[in-house]
Amino acid sequence: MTIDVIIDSSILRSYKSGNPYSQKLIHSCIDEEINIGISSLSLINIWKNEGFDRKSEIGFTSLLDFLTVQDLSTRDAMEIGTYIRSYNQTAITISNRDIEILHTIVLSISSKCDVVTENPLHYTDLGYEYHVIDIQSYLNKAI
Amino acid sequence: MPRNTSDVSTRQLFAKIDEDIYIEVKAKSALQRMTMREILEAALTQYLSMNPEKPSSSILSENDTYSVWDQDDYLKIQANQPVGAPIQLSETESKLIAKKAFI
Repeated sequence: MTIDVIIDSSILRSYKSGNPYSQKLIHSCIDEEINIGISSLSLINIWKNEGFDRKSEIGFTSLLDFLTVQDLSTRDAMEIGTYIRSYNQTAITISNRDIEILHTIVLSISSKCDVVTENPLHYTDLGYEYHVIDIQSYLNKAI
Repeated sequence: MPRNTSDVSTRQLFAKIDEDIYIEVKAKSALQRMTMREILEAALTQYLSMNPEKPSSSILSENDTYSVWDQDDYLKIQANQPVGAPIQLSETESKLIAKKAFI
């Protein structure tokens, strides 16, 4: 199945918050108008939140039936490790969120599609901006 | 309530805030067509107790309703189970919950 766009955890968090743009994007996926991919690492950043309760679990688990969750493959791990190694001699610290972002980038490259996020600047901080787009711009362009 | 900056002096504020809070505020501000400045001023005003009223937008409320949870007895029961408890949903139920769980 062709993936139209990759999202990260920021979109799921804004969906939970009732962001109308995220609702429009996610609902179009639930209605099978587009196919959205997401890194399994993004789910860590949803499930780990202190405010994550039973309703969140049921809501997000139901939503996952309609998203294409992409696990971290051996090749993905190698590529991400290589990227992080290039930062070893710098002052930049790679966080868990950065690793999610790096996997999202790897997925977008392999799927040849855009990354849609609430935080394009986080991608720019890691030296990556090609095909990273905020949700409003994506909706204006695609739907 | 937020003041118009045209007739009052202002100060610029810089702060790193929790990303989850930022994203939630951004989402609600889009819904309610309020700027981040207006929300911050309302929150700061409330903090100072200068205006005992809650902000009309209820932006700071955490009591979001989950209406879908009241429509089905099985869901009501499931919602009170601990995180990680097993649950079985039909495709129709999953679709309804995926769309309505956070409304």
